[in-house]
Amino acid sequence: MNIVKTQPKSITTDSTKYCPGCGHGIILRLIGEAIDELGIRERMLLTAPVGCAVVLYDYIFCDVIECAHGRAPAVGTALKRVHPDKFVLIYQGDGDLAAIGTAEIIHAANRGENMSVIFVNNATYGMTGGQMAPTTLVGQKTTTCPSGRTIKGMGKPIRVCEMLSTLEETKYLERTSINSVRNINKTKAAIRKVFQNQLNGIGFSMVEILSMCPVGWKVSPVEAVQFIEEQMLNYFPLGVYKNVE
Amino acid sequence: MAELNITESQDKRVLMKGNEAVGEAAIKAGCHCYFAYPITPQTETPEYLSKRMEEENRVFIQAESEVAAINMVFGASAAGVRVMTSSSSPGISLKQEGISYIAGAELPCVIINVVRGGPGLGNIEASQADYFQSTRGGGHGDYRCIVLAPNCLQECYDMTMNAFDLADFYRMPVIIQSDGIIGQLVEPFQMHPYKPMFEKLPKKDWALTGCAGRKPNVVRTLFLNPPNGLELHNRKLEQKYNKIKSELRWCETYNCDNADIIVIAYGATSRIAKSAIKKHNNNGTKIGLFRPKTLWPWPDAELTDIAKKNKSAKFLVIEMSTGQMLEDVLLTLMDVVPKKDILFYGMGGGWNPTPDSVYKKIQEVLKT
Amino acid sequence: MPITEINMLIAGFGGQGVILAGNVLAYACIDAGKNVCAMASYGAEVRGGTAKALISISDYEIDSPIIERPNLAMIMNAPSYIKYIDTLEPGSPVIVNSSLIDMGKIENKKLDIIGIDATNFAIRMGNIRVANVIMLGAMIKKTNILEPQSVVNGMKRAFYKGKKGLYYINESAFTIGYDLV
Repeated sequence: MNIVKTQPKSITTDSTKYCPGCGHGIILRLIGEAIDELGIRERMLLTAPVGCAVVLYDYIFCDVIECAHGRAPAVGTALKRVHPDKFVLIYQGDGDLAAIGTAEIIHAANRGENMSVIFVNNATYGMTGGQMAPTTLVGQKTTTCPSGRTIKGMGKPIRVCEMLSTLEETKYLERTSINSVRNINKTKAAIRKVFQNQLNGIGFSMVEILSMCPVGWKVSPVEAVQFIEEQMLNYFPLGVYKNVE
Repeated sequence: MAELNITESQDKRVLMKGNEAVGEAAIKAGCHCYFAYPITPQTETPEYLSKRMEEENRVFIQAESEVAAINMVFGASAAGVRVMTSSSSPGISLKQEGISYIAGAELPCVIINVVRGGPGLGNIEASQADYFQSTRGGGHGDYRCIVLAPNCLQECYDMTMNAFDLADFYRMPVIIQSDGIIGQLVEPFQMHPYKPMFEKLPKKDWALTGCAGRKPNVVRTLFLNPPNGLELHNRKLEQKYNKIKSELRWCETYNCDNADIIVIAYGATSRIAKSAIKKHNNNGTKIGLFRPKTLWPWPDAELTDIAKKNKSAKFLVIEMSTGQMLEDVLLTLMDVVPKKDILFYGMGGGWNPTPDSVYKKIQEVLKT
Repeated sequence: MPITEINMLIAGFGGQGVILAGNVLAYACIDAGKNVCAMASYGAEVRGGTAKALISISDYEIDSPIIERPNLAMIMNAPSYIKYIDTLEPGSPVIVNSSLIDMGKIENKKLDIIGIDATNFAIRMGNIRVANVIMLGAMIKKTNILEPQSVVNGMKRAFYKGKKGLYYINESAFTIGYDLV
């Protein structure tokens, strides 16, 4: 029997607390692979967000700081300024990055902090049980917009890549998805890119990953993948929004 | 043009604003990072340090918000360096989230609060209405911060340097409780070199520096599994706080032997009170002053001692608030002094008492 | 001036160098080995409004940094005169900027008032901003609270960090003010 793939060495567990069908587990693996391939585990300073990924320190075998909700880009800024030779990874969800931490991400990006940001967009608050997020689609039902999000009174979902691309000090912005093997591979490449950018001293780089939350969305894992394909991709087009070498 | 030669004065004192003195003290104490946001009446500190940190090749960021500033403090402290932020009351309220995390994660940092009037925007005058916020934790959760209250520029300078040592020694936030008067005051002080308070400080082996050659370090405040998680953590914090209470109670007493009245005041108010007290004592009365220099831990044993030695004395608490430190005085003296002998004089509007108004108040108390 | 504790008010509008004059005086006090404590107005108050500095000078420890009734004043414009003149102790020496304050309209307030044409002299010197130091010179001559040399040394320290040229024009301004009384 040939072993095609094994668990990345930087990942400490083979079972996460993530729900069945959740995208965080896939992204965790991709991050682990990238860490192993680039050999950066011992240089890595990781910020764990508030939300489902709060327990990242149980999964990735590196120095970790668990941040207050939305503040990881400010914490990461300080980590990087103190240790410019270390590798700072910011991991945030949509509530964390695009709601309560909007100021922190915009200003870290605007200062051009040389950090790598993984932004997991699953259009809901997963940890608290599926409430409306800044990226919840119009019409999408959540526990705090039970009749579906309406533009009137709730506005439209925020497109973070597009918004950050207006800031001149951002160097790499890409939106990917993990709804298919092909897109998972593309996501892996994007993660490698934002990691490599920091190692090359290029500057603020972020990948936004459209991810499934079947439990929060109250659908089956298969339907969750379909939701990304049929709904999210229309509103959140995949692609590279900024690439400054 | 001829060279401008400064003839060295015999007097080696330097002249600065209170807000600048804390900045220079931070430089001298080896503060590596400073993060802040402008707010009156503390803006001279970021202005001063923006220049000095650059000269020293250290880190200064004018943060996008008070919230970001304190979270940068959280990050820099976790990264293992000395770090400071400063603000004034409304800004300190915003920082409370971060202070709670820093206390929870047992990280050292120094926070300057140049207190102004509140609640809300209040005004920009000096106030002492943040006593509760500073001494009772301030943010969510069961924690404390060490609070030092300078009343002159020499203490602004010295206590800020001490604050870095205390923060590192006890691994917790230390607050310098300044105010609009002390922060804006210009007076000479001796700018002596940094002298560590402790012979040896604990190693920062918990710091995030990359896990090469060791197990990963995790800085966290989440302890999900009771009773072994958070309960143990909070008990550990409690033990630390109790230790500090037994080790760190600073106060100054003036004329507290056989006094008729003992005035209790801290910070700028203590100096205003002292002027009034001296004027009274010139007239033959015996008025003393008890000044806490640590607001947390509150010097309870010291005040109790004084109360026991001055059995017939009345106690007059003076604050630039409607009565916050008053509660600590009442708690301290409840078994020693009848409640009716503990009196209060306060200004609630972000405005200060004057030597004259304190003089009159003391006169009133003398007559009762 | 035979008083042990000077509680001085300097007032004018923002830009007249009120706070700078206070700083020079504070440096002069260090030079003279005296205790000094200065409080300047800040924030909204000085943005285009009246600026004031309160300076205590003493041979003893200075307790209250708050001055209620100044016993010496330098007043540089009319609004400050109106605002602060009644706060002074009776008999206090007051140096007023007669370029901007109509001496004819000043009533006898039981104060020892002298007018110095400071702003006009400053304009003639080529820098309107040295009016404050002209008044400082006059004040020192009038009150004798510090040796002139201490103030000159104080100016050296106050201007040391900025443009050195500023020191020289201010030194001249001080001498002019000193000789005016």
